[in-house]
Amino acid sequence: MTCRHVAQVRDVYLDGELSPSLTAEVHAHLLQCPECQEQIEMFRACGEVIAKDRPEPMLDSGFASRVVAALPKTDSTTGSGLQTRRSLRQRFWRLAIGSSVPAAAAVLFFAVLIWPSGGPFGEVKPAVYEKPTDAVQGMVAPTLNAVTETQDAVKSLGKLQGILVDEVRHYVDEGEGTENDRPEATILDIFLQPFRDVLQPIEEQDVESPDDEKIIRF
Amino acid sequence: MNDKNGNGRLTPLRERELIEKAQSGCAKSAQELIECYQDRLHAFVWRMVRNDHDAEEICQDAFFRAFQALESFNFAYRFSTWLFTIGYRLCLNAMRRRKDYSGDVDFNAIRTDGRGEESHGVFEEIANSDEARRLKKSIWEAVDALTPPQRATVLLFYKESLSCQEIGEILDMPAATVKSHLHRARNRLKELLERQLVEDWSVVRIGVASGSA
Repeated sequence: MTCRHVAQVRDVYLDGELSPSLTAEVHAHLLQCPECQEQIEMFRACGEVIAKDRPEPMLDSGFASRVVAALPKTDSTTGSGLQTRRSLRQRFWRLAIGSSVPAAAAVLFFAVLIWPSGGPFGEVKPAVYEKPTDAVQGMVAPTLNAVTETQDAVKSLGKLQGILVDEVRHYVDEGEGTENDRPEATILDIFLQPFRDVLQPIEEQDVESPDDEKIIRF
Repeated sequence: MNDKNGNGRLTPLRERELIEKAQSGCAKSAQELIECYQDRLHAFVWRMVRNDHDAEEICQDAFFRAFQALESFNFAYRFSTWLFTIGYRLCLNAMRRRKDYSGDVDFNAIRTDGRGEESHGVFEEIANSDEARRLKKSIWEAVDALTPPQRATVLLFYKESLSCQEIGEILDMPAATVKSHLHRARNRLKELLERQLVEDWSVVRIGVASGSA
């Protein structure tokens, strides 16, 4: 093996990926060639220094605490970050209020439907109809009535829920709650919340995958 | 439980445990993760940007971004690979801002430094030590003179003991390109270090092994 050959297989040899027979040939050449030996020794020295020497300045001991302190504390605005006890508490209350009100309304609705003798809001008299459309109207009317009554009931429940939401707001505001952190208060939101929770279990997130192409959008 | 392996790094099991805890909001686990990686990341980043302030800022930003997206972390990746990927890209950004992307340094200054210290070698025992220090300094200065991709490759290959495949993931290039960078980096190091008058390169290795720096 000549110096040129050694130069050709240099990287493979240094990385320990050269076949045993060629490695033996390289060793044989190095024994008789001080120049090649010095070169290989230089590369080994470089590898050792880069791997083990640590002349770079160190970060101060408070670095990790500073980074943790700077991390976002809630997941509602940034969509991620470390969740604090407060944000988890808010999610619990949202879920509790969001699911209990529609559940109560549903119970009331079914109670109206299955109420004996025509419903709780009055007797519906059986009628004789002249035209088929009148018959349909007569059949739909009690249901429409019941729906209207249920809506009224839901409104009063909404008032009750409003009071409850105020309580929760008060509870949240005890801490450092901000406008964004407050639970939604409209009836529609309360009704939709359980469905939102099912569709989007962990809020709306700007999910960033660990795929290196998506990590940072420069 | 043994949380760290021989070289003081987290075992994969412990690392996963810490990530999972941090994902569920445990600040203490997040802090432990940061403490385990901060020195490695900082050494790499500092060597890339060669500026104390920039290096600290980049490290902070890298951890910040990593934790922001921690909830979607894929355990098929190694946390260190992910962190170094973010760190490397932030380094490139910082270097572009500073417009020194070529990474060239005034190599004449390095040679002058080297010659200056050479004159101290009088006594054999001290001479060895001085010689080792001088050579180590020369090696680092030669590393600093590499282009950013070459420098990153060399650092990740030797310091982090990563494979070309893993380095490729971090630098966003095929493993073959990484090998090519490593080859060119070695050629460049040879070119730069051959100018040094060195009797025995193994002096450096002994010096490193005994921890004198």
